[in-house]
Order: sequence, then C-alpha cells, then structure tokens
Amino acid sequence: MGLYNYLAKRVAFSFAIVMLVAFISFLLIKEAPGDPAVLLGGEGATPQYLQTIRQEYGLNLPVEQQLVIYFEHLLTGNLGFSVTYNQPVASVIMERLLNTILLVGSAFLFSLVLGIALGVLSASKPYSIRDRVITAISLLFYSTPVFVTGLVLIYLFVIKVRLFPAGGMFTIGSQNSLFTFIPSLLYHLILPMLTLSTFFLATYILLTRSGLIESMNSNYVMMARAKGAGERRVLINHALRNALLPVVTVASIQLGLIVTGAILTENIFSWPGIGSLLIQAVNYRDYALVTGIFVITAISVAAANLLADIIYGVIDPRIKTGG
Amino acid sequence: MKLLKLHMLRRIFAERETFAGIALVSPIVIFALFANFIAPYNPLIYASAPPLEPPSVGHIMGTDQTGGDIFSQVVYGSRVALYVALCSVALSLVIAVAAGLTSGYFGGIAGEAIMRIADLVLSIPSFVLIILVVVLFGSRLNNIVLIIALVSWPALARIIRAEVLSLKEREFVLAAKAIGAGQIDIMVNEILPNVWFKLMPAVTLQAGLAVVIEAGISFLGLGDPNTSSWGRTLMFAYQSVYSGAWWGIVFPTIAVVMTVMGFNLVGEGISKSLSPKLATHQK
Repeated sequence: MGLYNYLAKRVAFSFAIVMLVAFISFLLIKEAPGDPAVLLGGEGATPQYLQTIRQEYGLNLPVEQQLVIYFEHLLTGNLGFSVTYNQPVASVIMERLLNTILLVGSAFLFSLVLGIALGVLSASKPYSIRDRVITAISLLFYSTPVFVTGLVLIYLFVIKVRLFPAGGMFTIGSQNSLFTFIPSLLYHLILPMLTLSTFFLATYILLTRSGLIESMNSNYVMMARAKGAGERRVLINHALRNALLPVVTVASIQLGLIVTGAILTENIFSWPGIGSLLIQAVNYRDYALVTGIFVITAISVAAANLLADIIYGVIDPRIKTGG
Repeated sequence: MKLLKLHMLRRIFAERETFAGIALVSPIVIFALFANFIAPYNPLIYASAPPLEPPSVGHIMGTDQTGGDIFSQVVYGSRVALYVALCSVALSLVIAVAAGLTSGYFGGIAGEAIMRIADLVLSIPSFVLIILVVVLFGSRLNNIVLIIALVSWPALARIIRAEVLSLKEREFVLAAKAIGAGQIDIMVNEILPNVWFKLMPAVTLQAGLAVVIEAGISFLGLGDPNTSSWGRTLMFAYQSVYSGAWWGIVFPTIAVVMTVMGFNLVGEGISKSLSPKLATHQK
C-alpha cells in the first residue's frame, strides 16, 4: 500500500501549499500600508462597495476572526470581485487560464521532447564536436533570461525578417471557422512557445546528457553490453530509462520557474493569459485580481506538482514497495 | 581545517570553468565598483542626448527613447545586479544555514518540520509573490531583495541538511565530541567549514537567478524607479523595438548573459572539482 500512502501524503501537501499561500496573502493585505478594504476591493472601488467589503470580510472584527472569514471565502471559491472587469475575480482568471495552459503546456512538451533527444545525441558521443556544440548552446540558453530571448526573437523574426506576428493569439476574423482559427493560433503560438522553451530546453539537454554519461559507465549497462545488446539498444532501453528519473524530478521542481517565464513571455507577446492579466491588474491597482492570481497560480502549480508526483509514483517502482 | 580549505581552493581554480566564469564576471565587478568614474552620465536622467541615437563616440552604446545614455545604464546596472545577487544570497544563506544545521544536526520532529516548511516555501510561485509585495508595499529594491531571499533559502537548506547528516557521524566530529566540544562549537567549527564547498554550486546558481528575477521585475516596469537596472534598459528597448534600435537590446543583454553565465560557470567549476567522476579524466 506504499503507493496510496505516498499519494495521500502528496495530496495533503498540495492542500498545505494552498493554505500557506492564502495565509501569506492575508498577512500581506493586513500588513500593507493603506486601507485593507481598498486592498481587498481595488483602487477603483466605490465608497458603497468598500462599505460592503468591510461588512463582508468583517474588517472591524478581531484579526483571528478576519482570518477565518478570509479562509471561508477562499475555500468556497470566492476570490473577491474585480472592479476593473466588473466580474468575480475567479471568472476573470478562468477565462484566461486555458490560454496560459496552452502556452506553458506546448512549451513544456516541446522542450522536454527536444531536450531529451538532443541530450541523447550529445551523450552518445561524449566530448565530440557535436557534443561540445550542443553543450555550449545549452549553457548559453541556460544563462539567458526568458524575456531577453523573447526580445531578441521579436527583433529578428518580427522586425528584421517579417516572419511572425508581434503578438496576440489569433488574427481577428479567423475565429469564425476552425479551419482558419487553428492555423492562425499555431502561427501566433510559435514565437512565445520558443521563447518560453529555451531555458527549459537547456536544462533538459544538460540533465539528460549528464545522466546518460553517468549511467553508460554503470554496471547494468556493462551487463547489457556483455549480453550482446546493440549500442543503440543499450543507450535507449537501458541507460536512458534511468537517466530520465532526474529529468522528471527537476521538471516538477521547475514548475515555479516556468510560471515566471510564462508571465514574462505573455507580456512580451501580448498573449492573453494570466501573466498579461497580472500586469494589467497591477497597473489598474486591482488588488483583488492580483491576490486572486497569486492564489490561482499556487493552486495550478500544486496541481501540476501532484500530477508529476503521481507519474513519478507510477514509473518509479521503489515508491510502490515503500523503499 | 585551514589546510583542507587551501587544497580545495587549489582544485577549484584548476578547473577551466572557474577561470572562464571569473573572466566573464570581472568586467561587471569593475563596472559596479567604479561606476561613478566609468559612466559618463547619470543613468536616471533622461534626455542627456537626442533619443534613439546609434552608438557613436559620445554615446558608445547609443541612447534610448528618452535620450538616456545606454552605456551609463549598463555600467550602473552592474551595481544593481551585483547588489541584488550578493544581498539576496547572503540573506538566504543566513536562513538556510540556521535551518539546515538545526534540522540536520538535531533532527527529530523539529528537524522534520523545518524541512516540510522548506518544501512548502519552495512551491510558492515566487515571481507572483514578488509582484504582489511590490504592488502592496512599493517597489523599493530592498523589498525585492528581501522576498527573493525569503523564497530561495530552501534549496540551500536542503543541501546543508544532507551534508550535515553525512558529516555528523564522521570521525573528526566524533573526535571533537569526545574531547568535550559543545554542540554549537561542533556545528560552527567542525561541520560548517566542510559544507561550504558542496554548497557553492547552488549558491552561484541562485545568485544568477536573483539577477534574472530582479531584471524581470524591472523589465515589467515594476522595478525600483530610483535604480538603473538592466531590466529597465531592456524595457525601454522593448518599447522602442519597432524603431529597429538594436543597441538597446544587445548591450544590456550581453551584460546579463555575462553575469549569469559567469556565475554558472564558476559553480560548474566548483562542482567539477568536487566530483572525482567529472574532474580531469576526459577522452
């Protein structure tokens, strides 16, 4: 029953993350200079609405009770009301969440597949010219911030060579038919996806490479060779499988970083996701929306982490036996 | 203990990566230290020249859309970047050493609890948290540094704990115990000096990340308006990118990449010198 135990622990952990994030946002709103009613409602709130907020969140009650009320709101999915969008915060965010997931998901898959492939290519001939070139490029990507990559790509492929659109998600008018909408969407997705991919691509290349080189010198690979398995079979079936475990671990640890990258990428390419919503909310001083995005991002990261844990629990046999 | 350290340092400097890294970071350090003498203009004053001038003798890196001198911004930006890297790493090290040492040395429920808290903190979407803090408390550089430190200590604490767990049963620690050294004395004088080198790759990685995070915040227009960050220069470059002014992109980019890559290479050099598998023996 190792697996169930493990999963129960991970679910509890995800829940704890969300509670911690909720607690942090409560603490920040309490401690920030300014009227908490405004910090819950937003700079554009009318006096009547501020009065409603004071009532609703019990701002004249003792702090412990305020905390309880705040948690009650969050647990029932009430993230407050966005004054700028004239809608509940939760529904403003949900409208954009799918766009962010599309961007992050495609960038993640792209960098994972290409990263592992290039890592294998690199490690199959260690210290050759091919290996050195791949490693050097990875190191360059690894040290380049996402927004710098985006800026350079815009300069090269939007302004110098007019190959791609500068931003947005689709050409206006294309959304009437699926046959024009999907190509337009993919066309707009390419640059932001590449931008967000580069850093993670570099990580996966370097991890796969070092993992493979290490396992190629291990006893079980020697054993496979001794049995007469071909070099390709040894590489893919024996060495790669073990080299991939750290890639999965790091991929889930880096989810927070991918959020950072997504926020910057969306703002550069005006991709209508949560990251660009966040900066709009900041500029309008729509505090309820900013706080809501903080909580929703934490929940999304926790959910994605949980998913990674489940995958890990299934592929790593040691977890099932509780070892 | 002194001897051990010298010998470690010699091994670290024997790696090519360490030298390459130091070579990349040195100009940035010189810019940061002598910014007042090197930069010809005040980076925060607009309109020192006509806007969007390409590189020339007067403005060797050109000017931005407000007429600001980009070379001066790059020079003063080094100061901001290194300040953020040093302060946030130092602060997060203080927390990480306290948390990692207690957790590893004493263990027990408190030790477990510390590590669970570390795991939780690691899962907070830190960039959004920094933006939230900037919105609620203002965008002073020290606010940004403080939050970076508060969310980045767990990675270091984990390494310290793991090292302490393996070191505390070693002979030299047992020997110190046997001659009656106190627990604080053992932690600080016996265990800690041996943890530093294992910790360095993670520290340099974090220093690079801190630079990138601060630049990202400034790039979004949320940075400290009283400091000249590379992110701010890049934000201006982004706003005027359609004019084709490449100089606003290229020079701050080189500065950021040099710094982050320099840090990463030094880290790589240190971890190579520590790992007998990776060091020297290459085909």
